[in-house]
Amino acid sequence: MGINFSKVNFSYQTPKKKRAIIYNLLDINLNIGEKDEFIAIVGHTGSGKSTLVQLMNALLLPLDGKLEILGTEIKKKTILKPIRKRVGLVFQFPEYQIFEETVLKDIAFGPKNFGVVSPEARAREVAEMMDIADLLERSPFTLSGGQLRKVAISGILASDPDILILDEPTVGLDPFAKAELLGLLEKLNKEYRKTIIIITHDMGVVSNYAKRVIVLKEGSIVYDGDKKGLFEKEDLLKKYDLDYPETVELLKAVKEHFKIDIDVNKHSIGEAYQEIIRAFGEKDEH
Amino acid sequence: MRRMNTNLVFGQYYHTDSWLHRLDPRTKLLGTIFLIITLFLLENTLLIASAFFGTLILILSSKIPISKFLRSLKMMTTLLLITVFFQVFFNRGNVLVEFKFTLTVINLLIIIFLLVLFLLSRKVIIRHRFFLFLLLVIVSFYLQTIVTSGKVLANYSVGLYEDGLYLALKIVIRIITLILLSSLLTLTTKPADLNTGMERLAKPLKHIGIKVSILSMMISIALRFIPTLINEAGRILKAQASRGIDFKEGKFTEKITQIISLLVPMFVISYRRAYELADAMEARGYIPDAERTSISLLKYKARDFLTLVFILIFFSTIVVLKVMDYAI
Amino acid sequence: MVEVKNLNFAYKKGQKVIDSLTLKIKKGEFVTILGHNGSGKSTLAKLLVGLLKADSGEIYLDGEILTEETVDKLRGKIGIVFQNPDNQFVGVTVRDDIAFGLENRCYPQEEMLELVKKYSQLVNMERFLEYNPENLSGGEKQRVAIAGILAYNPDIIIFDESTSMLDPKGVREVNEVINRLKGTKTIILITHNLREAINSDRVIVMNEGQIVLNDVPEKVFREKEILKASRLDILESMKIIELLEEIDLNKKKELEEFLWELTFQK
Repeated sequence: MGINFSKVNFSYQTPKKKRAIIYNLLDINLNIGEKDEFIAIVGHTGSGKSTLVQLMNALLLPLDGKLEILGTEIKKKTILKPIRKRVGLVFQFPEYQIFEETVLKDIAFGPKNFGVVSPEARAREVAEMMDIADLLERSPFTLSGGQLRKVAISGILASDPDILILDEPTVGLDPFAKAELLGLLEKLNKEYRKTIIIITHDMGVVSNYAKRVIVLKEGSIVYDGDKKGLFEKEDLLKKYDLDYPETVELLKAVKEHFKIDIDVNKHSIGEAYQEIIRAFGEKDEH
Repeated sequence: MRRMNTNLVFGQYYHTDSWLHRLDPRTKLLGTIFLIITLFLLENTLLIASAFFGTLILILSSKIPISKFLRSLKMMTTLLLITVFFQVFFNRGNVLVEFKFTLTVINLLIIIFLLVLFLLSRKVIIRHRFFLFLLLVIVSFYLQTIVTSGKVLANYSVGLYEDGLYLALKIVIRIITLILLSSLLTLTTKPADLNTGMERLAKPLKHIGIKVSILSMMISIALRFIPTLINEAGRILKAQASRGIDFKEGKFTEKITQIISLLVPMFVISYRRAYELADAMEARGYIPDAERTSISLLKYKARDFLTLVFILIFFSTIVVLKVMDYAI
Repeated sequence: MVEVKNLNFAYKKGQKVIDSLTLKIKKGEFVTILGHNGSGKSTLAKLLVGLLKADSGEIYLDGEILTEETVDKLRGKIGIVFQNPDNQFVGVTVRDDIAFGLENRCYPQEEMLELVKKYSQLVNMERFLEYNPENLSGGEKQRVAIAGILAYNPDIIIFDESTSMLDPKGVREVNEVINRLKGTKTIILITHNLREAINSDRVIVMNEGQIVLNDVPEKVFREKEILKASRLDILESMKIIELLEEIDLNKKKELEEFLWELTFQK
């Protein structure tokens, strides 16, 4: 099950005999599990990240190759609505999709369309989990940007998708709101076992939350594996126009300056700190 | 996210390196207006046809592929066909040919049967429905001439009128030429330049209280944001599709919700945009009714004078001849 | 160059967004104003360019007081680059947009053409002059905005979260331009990202409409408690230093000093 790409090509152009076709995605082979995965998709702007995730919930259809989503093969005549329920996609700046009169109605909108039983009860549940239950009776147009974003994400969560995809969910949020949102996604992944896929530019997000990283470059997948493997390959990062996470940069600098044996592949502040203690040694141990 | 469309193709503008493209937009605006007026002053069929061929020559000189012009014409075909139909068959005067039709119970039933077949075949035969319908109409009338057995319901005749034919010809050529001239204008002039041209020409109107510069700024901003809005609408449609809205299906009440789910966000985006844009414009010193200069200052060149002079000579000649009652 | 005396402002009665704010910025200074969303920093920016009118207090630009009568004239001395690249792009093409501010000030056409060329080159957008904004990235649009402001030569430029909607490439491009302007203009950079404050002469931290810190970056970044209370994130290196306080490590002092230097090397 899950999502399977097999030799998938995609282009926004309609194929015409006269001109050579420009592919936006080329030869995509990918297997994404239905549960437990936490994947970060990274790559330079224009590398095809948004296009790829739009194939994952069948907003776009492949040009060549085979795409299977949760057991259904995606062809021209396939009925797509049930797929959109089970693979939820949150776009960048999702606050722009809100239109109902109250927050409650807007969150319940998706579930209603997908035939979820008692959509409003479900909406309340999700609002509780996202910590916006006190906003339910308000008009969305009186809320702040950060609150709106939570409402928008709740709207997708309320349909209870198995797989949740988010395109740059933390852009424009201040550090607190960002940490709060990411913590929530982590909870969904760990407690509710949902597969979470995030498109992000922020290597800190990758290093602190993701288990698996997919790197796109000019429409092709150039890396698909765990994050430790990615950060260890020095040339990969330079070649694909990505930065190192802050912690890795920091440890590298310390290693170079103090000429000390230190493992730079630590991705959270806590881990980095522990490593520094280990490497430098506490004064008593002398 | 970078868009796929190229820079210079917006609305209808098509870039080539022709003399028409290099004319001042004011010349083209005034020229088109005068040429169209002249077109409608002419009555002689031969002269109208010459106007048509003259326009074709202009089109050739624009170096723009004919397919671009055909696209605009395509939209008018239905209107033209209806006009022709009424002129040819419902006029007065000499009858060239007369068709006699007899509607009987039997051929009426056959016609109804064929019509039902046509409607039912909607799912089976999807393409070329219009031609099929045309065929149905022709067959229905043909049946009324050959299958005349059964109880007679009506006897009628339809005439093909001689005058009607000529009139129809004149109307069709005139309308086609009109469309070609307008397309020539929009294909050779960028929308922003059209706007600037109109603003310059309309400047004197400010003395009667019409705020030309403000209207022009509004059009300019609209031109700037139409591609943006189109792209944003596409994004919203996709976002709503992810929430289970299927724009292709749905009952009438669902359709209303679907439209609202697109319009409300568009409205909200536009509202906020208006606010922020107004702030940015004000901060950069924009004052709505104040004097301002323009970086796209239009300057007439020799070719503009020549073109305008020719058109005006042509126009005045026709007017004078008309006034003096010559049969043109 | 910029002086604010006892400024007060509220959008709605009773909810002060700017609270008795007093501030002085010298000519040529590069000042960063840090604050979380809602701290009042963007409101302050709008007040400085006269888009909002303060309830009480005074604003002086280059020694002259900002009032309804003087605002049109003083607008020539100050420019602001907003956050949303699309919602400040007025022109149909890049050329038209850069010229917008000049057109408003009735510059003659020849001079405008020269200035547009000069400043589009400065922000590396010269070859895009005929492009319309739909075909530009966020970073490119922001650079056009900067060129449009530089064109009428204000002394003061405010950057109100100009990079928060951009991708990393756009952020780099815009920050590169801003850093090149350092010293030639009085710059006020408004952000909630501490990293962008590193290069400034001075950092001002706002919280609840008031100034809570106003000093050089080295001193401000040490104030972990105040930064946290202002809902700002502290830098990674600072977090490690904070954690190190608990423990007694070999070479602890050198490590701390090194981490500190590392922060400001960028």
